[in-house]
Amino acid sequence: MTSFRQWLEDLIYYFAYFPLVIQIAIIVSVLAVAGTALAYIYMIFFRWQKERRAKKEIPLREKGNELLLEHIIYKSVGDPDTPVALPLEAFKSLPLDQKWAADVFKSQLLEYRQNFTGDIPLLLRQLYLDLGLHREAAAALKSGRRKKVISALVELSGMGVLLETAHVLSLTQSRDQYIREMARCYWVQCSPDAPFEFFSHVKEPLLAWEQFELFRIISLRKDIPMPSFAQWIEPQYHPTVISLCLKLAAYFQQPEAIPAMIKMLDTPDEQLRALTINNLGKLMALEAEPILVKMYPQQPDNCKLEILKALGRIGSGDFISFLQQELEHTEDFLLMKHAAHSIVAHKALASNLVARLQHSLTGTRQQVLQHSLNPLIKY
Amino acid sequence: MYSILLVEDDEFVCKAIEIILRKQDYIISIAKNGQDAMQYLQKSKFDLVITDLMLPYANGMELVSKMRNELHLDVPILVLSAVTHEKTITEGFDIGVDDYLKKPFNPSELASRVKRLIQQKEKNTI
Repeated sequence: MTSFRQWLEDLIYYFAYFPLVIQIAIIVSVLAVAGTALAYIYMIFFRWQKERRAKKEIPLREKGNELLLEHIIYKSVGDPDTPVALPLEAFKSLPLDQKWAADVFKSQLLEYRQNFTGDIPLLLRQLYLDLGLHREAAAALKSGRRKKVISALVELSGMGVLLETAHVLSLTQSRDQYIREMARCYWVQCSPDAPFEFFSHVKEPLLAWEQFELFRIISLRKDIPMPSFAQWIEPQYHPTVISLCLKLAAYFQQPEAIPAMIKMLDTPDEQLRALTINNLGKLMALEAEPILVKMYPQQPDNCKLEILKALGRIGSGDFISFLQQELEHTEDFLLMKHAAHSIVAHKALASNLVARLQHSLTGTRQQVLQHSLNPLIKY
Repeated sequence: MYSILLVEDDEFVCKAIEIILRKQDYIISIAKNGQDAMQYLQKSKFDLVITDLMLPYANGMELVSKMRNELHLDVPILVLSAVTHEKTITEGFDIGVDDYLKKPFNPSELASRVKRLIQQKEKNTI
């Protein structure tokens, strides 16, 4: 001990006499060695902790699996008229009063809900509520910490449980982007009667991925009648809400949205207009055809493209000569291609015209028509 | 007692299917991948094969193709998979799959389909 102290004192004494470059080199080396050692210690500790937790969880996971398989999965096969009774006492044998154990069991419930359909997800949801496992998430919803709120929203939406309705509805307008997005997905997925209520109050844009996720969740909801999305296809709503509702109206084939969509054709927002035209085509809106043809010359290229596509989808045959004119005269390759595609999409109505065009067209225009006639080529 | 070969690499799904089918008095053998499944099929006879499509080493489609073209087995094959791509499903039917069930699945539906396929096989044998 004394010799080490002596060595350290000598080191400090001599250190002051070293040249500056050597002093810097020593400090950097010491810092690098200490940093590496700390990183290794941290990694070893982290791995040890993870392994310890995994070891602790194994028996609980096995017990949880055994109970779920025996009382839920096994009993759900057989007579569909006999309801499965939940033996709560058996599940209470798990140490669910301890947070780590409750978390493990909740993750198992979520895993089972994701893997089975039919009555099982409902039984698991009931079990989750009966065992009081929702209480922690319910409390976390009101927490000031973003991470806690988001994990509570993820857990509750995974379990299909709607709690704290008024608070969650206010979270759909939260200033925190992540909380707001998760709350909206949760609300749309779980609200029993008004899952689209927040559409009217959206002030910040719905991001592309959020629209995608909302669309996916809405398309999976089979337990509620879909409202008419036309009510949100109005200029006073946020453009991203309008664009989501345009897609939803087309997906759920709601022809009652056509008048609202036609009104949206006046919007100064080019992208929104193009999307409106696209969805009018998907709804096969016959009444929109003359309007689309009339507005065509004043439109930017992306809207022109959508008009040509829409005319092909609607396919009434009334404006086939307009498509022919575009194919024969436009210099824009994309417009030419879509005019040809839309003529071909008229099928029997265009068979004579197609035969005529095959002889009269030359060069690129003829090649484009041949390309469109190939059923193996989609685009 | 009918015997079923289950080809599935997910332990959780294996356990669940085993429980579901044991309740219906079937004897279950489990293979974790396509290679193991081929070994089982060469050694023993089964009344039904349930297979996933995403398997290690040889995927479910390759397994079905080998069963039909190399081993010349006429055992009914039920595919249980999360793959929902229509083209893959049609391809599966083309190469000899008898039935297709999507994951997540309803255990009662699985039990009914297994029962129907085995009954059909019995009828064809008679």
